[in-house]
Amino acid sequence: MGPRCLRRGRARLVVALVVVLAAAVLGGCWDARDLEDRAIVVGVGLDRARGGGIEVSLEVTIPDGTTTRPGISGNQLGQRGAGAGGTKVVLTGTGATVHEALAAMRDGTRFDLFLGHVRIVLIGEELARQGVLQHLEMLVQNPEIRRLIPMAVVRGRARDYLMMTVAQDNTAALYLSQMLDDLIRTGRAPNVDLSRFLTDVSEPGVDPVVSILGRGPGTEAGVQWVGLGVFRDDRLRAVVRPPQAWYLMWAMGSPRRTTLFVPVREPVSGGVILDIFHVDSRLTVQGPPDGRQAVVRLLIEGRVAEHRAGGIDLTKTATMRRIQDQTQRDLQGRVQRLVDQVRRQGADPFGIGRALRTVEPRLWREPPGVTRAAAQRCQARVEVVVRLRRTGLTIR
Amino acid sequence: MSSSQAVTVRGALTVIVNVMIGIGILTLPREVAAQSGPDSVVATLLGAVPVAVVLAALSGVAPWIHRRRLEHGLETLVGRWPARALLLAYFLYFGTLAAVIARGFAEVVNANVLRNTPVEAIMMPMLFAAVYLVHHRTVTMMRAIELTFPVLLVTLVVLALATMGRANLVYVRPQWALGLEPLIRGAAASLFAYAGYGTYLFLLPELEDRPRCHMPWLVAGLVGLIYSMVVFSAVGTFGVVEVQRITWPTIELVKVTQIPGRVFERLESAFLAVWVTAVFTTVGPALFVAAKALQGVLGLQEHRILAPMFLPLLYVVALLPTNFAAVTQLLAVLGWISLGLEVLVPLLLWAIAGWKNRPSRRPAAARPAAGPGGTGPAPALGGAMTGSGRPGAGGTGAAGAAPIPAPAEPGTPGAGAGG
Repeated sequence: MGPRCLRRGRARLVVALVVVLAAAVLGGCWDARDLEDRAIVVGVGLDRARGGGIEVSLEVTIPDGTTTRPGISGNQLGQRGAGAGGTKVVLTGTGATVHEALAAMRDGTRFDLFLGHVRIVLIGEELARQGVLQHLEMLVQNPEIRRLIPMAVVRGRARDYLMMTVAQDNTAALYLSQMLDDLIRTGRAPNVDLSRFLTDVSEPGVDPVVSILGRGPGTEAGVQWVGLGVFRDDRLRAVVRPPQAWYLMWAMGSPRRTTLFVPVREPVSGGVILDIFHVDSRLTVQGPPDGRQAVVRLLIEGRVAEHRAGGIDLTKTATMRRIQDQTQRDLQGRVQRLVDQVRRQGADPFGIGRALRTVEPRLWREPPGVTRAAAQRCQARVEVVVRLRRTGLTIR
Repeated sequence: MSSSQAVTVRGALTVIVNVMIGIGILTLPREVAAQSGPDSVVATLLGAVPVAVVLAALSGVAPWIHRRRLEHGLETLVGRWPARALLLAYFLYFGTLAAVIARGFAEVVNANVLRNTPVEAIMMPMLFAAVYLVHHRTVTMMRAIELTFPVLLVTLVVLALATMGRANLVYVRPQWALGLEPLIRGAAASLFAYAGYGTYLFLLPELEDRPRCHMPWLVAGLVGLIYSMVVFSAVGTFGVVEVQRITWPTIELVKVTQIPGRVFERLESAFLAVWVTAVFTTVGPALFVAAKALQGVLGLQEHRILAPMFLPLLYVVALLPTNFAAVTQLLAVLGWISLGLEVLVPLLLWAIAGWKNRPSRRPAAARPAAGPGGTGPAPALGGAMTGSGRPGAGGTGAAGAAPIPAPAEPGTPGAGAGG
């Protein structure tokens, strides 16, 4: 055996050793945790704790957990979801902050709480009225939590909503997130996630608006969208119910498409129902510096969805124009009243302050309160233009 | 040197782009927004202007360095000891930069993904990989970086485009609201994020050809465009105030981004994978520059042996900052140093080259035409001559010791094209 063969043999030995060592060292983690040992949090509920502080509720799914490893609910803060097949549990913890509450929950569970799959954040109405910025900021400081998670305020306590059972799906969080997603996709609710909420709270010149969920007898899961919560900074100030909630969304420029039915009584013929399928909203600030006026312009396009048979003749352009004009007057009054009502609460979900800063850049250098005060001094005027585009399948 | 072994101009510029896109991109929106508010995008673009000027200046210096040992080229311009001092400063600066970037990378990964993994364990593979890269020839490093470049570029552009849909124009519409000074401060903050372009000086000796006039502007423009798109998306999405609260706005931006059709629900995994490459292509070249600079200081033939020797030093330097705040502070200090070493020094070298090249100092017969760099004529080089006016100064007479063959007359049309 020559020296060359020896060298080659040694090289092969070294390579083999490296491969074996790499396989031994890199093959797995010493602190690996099986999926079965992870408690996957799908919903987070935030409520005001009795006696102060915050109560955090987590809706948790435990893959194969409660069936093969019974006893999770025996020594837990939470309760097993009824009819959920034993794989869902709602944990509850209280503390001065979100992290303290989470830490309390972690102390009471033998599973690793994983927040990377949270689908919805629910906030109890009482806590929302008290202020939520601090709690949400703490929540997003957890790297597992994504700012894209949708949020909603609930009538009552968030924990009760996470505890509810849903016929088709055993996690309330998933059901509620799908429900909100559908509302957003069809233009019936604004797209508000943690990111949008925190941005609107932090930016001077605009206030957030959040969907409100409440109990709804006769609905699939006993829950329904009951309107919009208007915030001033991070505190809930008012709840606007439909149809005013839709007008608020129009004025905010949120939806581009909506399936809103507006009943219009045509004096001659009884009535028509319009299907609003497109709303374009523009906010401009006009006038001299000492007399600024915020103008909300709405271009509303709709179609006649329903009318009494033999009542009106939609082949006549004069009839169409009359319906259009009447709807325009009617809607302008309604939206104006809504805008005034919301502004009386001191809230600015329309972003008048933000628009004001584009025409008065000096406001960027001023404290946030100056922008709010300047926005409140502005008069807000609503201009509505209605266009009837289609007449439907029956014309007389 | 055959052309396949040479560092191409395109390759060198690719290296520069890759060096600039590192960990700075993660914090850039926060830092610029804190200074310039709604004018952040303009400030970011403004920050790219000095980079272009510096790269153009270095292209102007190229005739003095091209196809020569860097230390010899610098000696012809500034003299022996100032050249050594400069190289030592570059060594310290780029060595520290490589270590701190590796540490910053480890901190980001630790905070966002591998929360229970020690920072040392995250940092070491990056340092090992960088050392391995620098242990090869310059052209090998260039090719490795060229390979990763399209992935990085496409990912960043797709990310920037995908996130623009959420952006609210009100937050990023330039309004000159805060005045000129904040705008300049924002541009300076963004200039720090571009740091690393000084690498170009160390690639010049081995360039296959001299760069064209528009190349520096193209490089600075490309990075400026990518950075400004990221700043636009981040500030537009989170708003001027909220973006200042987020430690790494770009990562948060990726987290709130969804590709239409729900192809990728969690884009951050893909982004972080690509970003690891971006950091690697920053740490590697920075280490390369440190090795090259030390090679020049010590008068060694090769830089490759120096890279493994750096490792313990890099490890210690990287672990000196006690936490991420200290890392950020150190990066800010390095940013200020970069103004000196990466902006002022190249401009100074350019000025000296211009001064030495002025018509009154050269005989008319020896006056060559301007080269493709368009930055003026080049000094007469060759053999033992130096441009310093001191024959034999700086040991440049040891032309045989230099691995790079003596060039043809730089500055003349087509000079150096074939080596």
